Amino acid sequence: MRGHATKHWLIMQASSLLMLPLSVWLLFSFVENVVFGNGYESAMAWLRNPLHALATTAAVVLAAHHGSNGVISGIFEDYVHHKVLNAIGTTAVKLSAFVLMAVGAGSIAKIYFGV
Amino acid sequence: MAKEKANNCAAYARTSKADRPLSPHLFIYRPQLTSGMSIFHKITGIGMYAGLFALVSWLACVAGGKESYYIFSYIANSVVGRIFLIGWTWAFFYHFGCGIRHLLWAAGKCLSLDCVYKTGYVALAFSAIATISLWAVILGNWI
Repeated sequence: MRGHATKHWLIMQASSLLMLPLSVWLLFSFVENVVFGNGYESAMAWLRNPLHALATTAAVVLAAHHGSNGVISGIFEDYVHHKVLNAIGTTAVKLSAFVLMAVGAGSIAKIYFGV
Repeated sequence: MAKEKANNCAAYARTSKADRPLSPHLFIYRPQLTSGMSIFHKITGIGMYAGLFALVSWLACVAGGKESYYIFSYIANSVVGRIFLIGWTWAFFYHFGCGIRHLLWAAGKCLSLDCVYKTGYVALAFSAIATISLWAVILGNWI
C-alpha cells in the first residue's frame, strides 16, 4: 500500500539516520589524517585503509541517493511545474546521481586495489 | 447563495491543474524563523549536492595520481576554493542540525511552537559555532 511519497519519505529517513554518525566520523577522520596530513601520500594511505574505503564508498552512495531525491522532490516537484522542464531536470538529477556513485566508487576501487 | 457556490465550484473545475495553488508558497507568508530555516534547509541541501561533485572530483584526482591531486589541491587551497569549502562546511553542519529536527518531527516529537523555535535557534547556533571552530583549528595549523 506504500505510495511514491511514503517510499521517498522512508528512504530520506533511513539515509539521513545512517549518515548522521557516518558523516561526522568521516569528516573528523579526514581532517585529522588528510587535511593535517602530507598531501597525496596521506590521501592515498587514508583511502587504502579498508574501513575508510568502505565508509567513503557508503557515504558517497548514500549522499548521492539522498541528495538527488531531495533535489528532485524539494526543487523539481515543488517548484518546477512546467512538465517538460520538470521531466528533463528530474532525469538529469537521477543521471547525475549514478555518475557520482560510479565515479566515486570506481575511484576508491582504483585507489584501494591499486589498478 | 447556493447558486454563487455552484458557480465557484464550476469556476474551480474549469481551472487546469497547473493554475491551482500549490504549496509551499514562498512569497505569500510573512517571513518567519520557521519558514526561513526550511528554505535554507533546501538551499544547503542543493549546495551540498553540488559539493558532492567536488568530493567525487577529489576522489577521482587522488585515483588519477600525483599530478591531478596537485591540481585539485591548488584549486581547493585558492581563496575561492577555501570560500567554497567553508560554505560547504557550514551547509553540512546546518543541514545536519536541521535534519535532526526533521527526524524528531517525523517521530512525532518536538511539534510545539516553543520546541520548534528553541531547536531552531540551537541548530543555527550549532552550525555557526561548529563551522568557526573547525576552520579555526584547520587554518590555525595551516598558517
